[in-house]
Amino acid sequence: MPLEYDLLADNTINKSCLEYLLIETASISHEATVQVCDNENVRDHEQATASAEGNLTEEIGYNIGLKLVDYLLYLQKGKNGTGTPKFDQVVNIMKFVCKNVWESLFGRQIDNLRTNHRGTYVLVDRSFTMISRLDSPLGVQDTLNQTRKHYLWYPCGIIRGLLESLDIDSTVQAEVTEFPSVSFHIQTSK
Amino acid sequence: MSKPYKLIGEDVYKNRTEKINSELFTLTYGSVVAQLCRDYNNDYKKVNEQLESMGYNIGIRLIEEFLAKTNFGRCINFKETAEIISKVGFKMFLNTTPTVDNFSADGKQFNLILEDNPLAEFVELPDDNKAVKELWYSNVLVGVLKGALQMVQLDVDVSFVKDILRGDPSTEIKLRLNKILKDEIPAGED
Amino acid sequence: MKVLSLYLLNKSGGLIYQRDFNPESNGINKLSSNDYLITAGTLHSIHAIVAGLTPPVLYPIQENQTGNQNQTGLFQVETEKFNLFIYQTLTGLKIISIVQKGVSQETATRFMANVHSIYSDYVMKNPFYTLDMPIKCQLFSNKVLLLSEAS
Repeated sequence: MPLEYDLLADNTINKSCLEYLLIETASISHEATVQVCDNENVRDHEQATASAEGNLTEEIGYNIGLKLVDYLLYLQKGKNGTGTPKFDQVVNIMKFVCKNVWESLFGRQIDNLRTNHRGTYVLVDRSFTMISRLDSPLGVQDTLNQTRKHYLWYPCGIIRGLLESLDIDSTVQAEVTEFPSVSFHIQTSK
Repeated sequence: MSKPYKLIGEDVYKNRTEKINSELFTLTYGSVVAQLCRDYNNDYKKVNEQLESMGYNIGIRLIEEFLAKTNFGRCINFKETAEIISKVGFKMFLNTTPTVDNFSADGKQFNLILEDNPLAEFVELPDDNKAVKELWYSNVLVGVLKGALQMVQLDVDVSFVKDILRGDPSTEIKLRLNKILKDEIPAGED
Repeated sequence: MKVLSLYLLNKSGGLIYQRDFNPESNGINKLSSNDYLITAGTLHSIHAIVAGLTPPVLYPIQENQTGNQNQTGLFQVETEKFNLFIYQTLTGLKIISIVQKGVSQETATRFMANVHSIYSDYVMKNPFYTLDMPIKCQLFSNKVLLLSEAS
């Protein structure tokens, strides 16, 4: 009897699980970075933790991004039976990110994609779901600060990992000025 | 008369939750565990503790969503608790229904057998001989159960006893009721 | 249906959220924050005392499906001008709503159950919120306002 594995079966779970997990991840990244500093005998804790924290969450996102492409391509193929999207030009890859990746990860597409055709891309999500519940008791400004410090590294890491798996070196930074609209600035070498 | 918990669980999951692809969650969780192992230098006991602590923080919040969506009242006995956890709780969040097994004669202990564990799909533990003996990969579940039950005034000891990732035949969690926190039960329930 | 005020109490009876809806048009005066705290604490205590007073003979037999665990404690206060309902969750959170006369118990209970849903969504998932502390989430407030207008 052939072993049938239906990857397109109902592999869904409650969105809340991921939301709670990400909240906790941001929380523990602080503790874990203190641990890392202890391990490496870093003198200046404050300074080091601030930048290291972001790195930790970004790493987590990066690892996800690396593995994501294959999985998404498989999903796509199965669903419409059409060929794989064209990855010849970086701009097409960006479009893939805007449409397919964002849709399957966050349930909606990127609202706006801009480029200077010289390696810089800006993706704008006007209502980024992963930060939609953030609300600091200290007011909007603090919410923005905290968002920048902790909660945007994950999607940046995902994008960076994804591009890396398609052989594109990049740096990704996110900026939020008007909550909950986030813009991702991607600097690529091509 | 046993209530149709299975139907309730399926109904809540189908109609009252937002769903995402479980693979993204699996990847994220995997990344988190891997990162923790790296940061704690493969001190798996510490990683287990950290995972449980994360789970606890998630559990004390997640219980409100569970109660809000299911409107359940207080369970008559621990057996009912077991049924609700497996058929409604797990179904509602992880879209899986573990089996309740080994219910003790004094009615205070049972095991949950997870046939499929969305946290650990396609995961292999690292090849050092330590991980297989010391790491409980899905230990976050232990914390979630403990935290959630504590919020409804049940002091329960939760721990993994077997894990497929370790080479055991099944994945099992043991729950033992220590006591009902009678002092903390809110006034006004009969 | 017109809801006039909403109070949320944590399991120890501490006030974590208070809001009056359309205070000018409904003629509600603003009290000092201390007064609100005292009101909340008093309601919490009276609720518990009533639970102690209720004779076992009156304990409800049927299972209720509304999610309101408040079976034997203070449930409803009726005055000439308004009704007050208390809704309690298994975790000890109390949701108290003050509504206009003419609003039925079912409608009020449904409103409070929805507030519970919004709480579990916007407050529990806000990483900046610590359990049992006063709720200062703008998002939660906005959603509650929308709910009160929709009901």
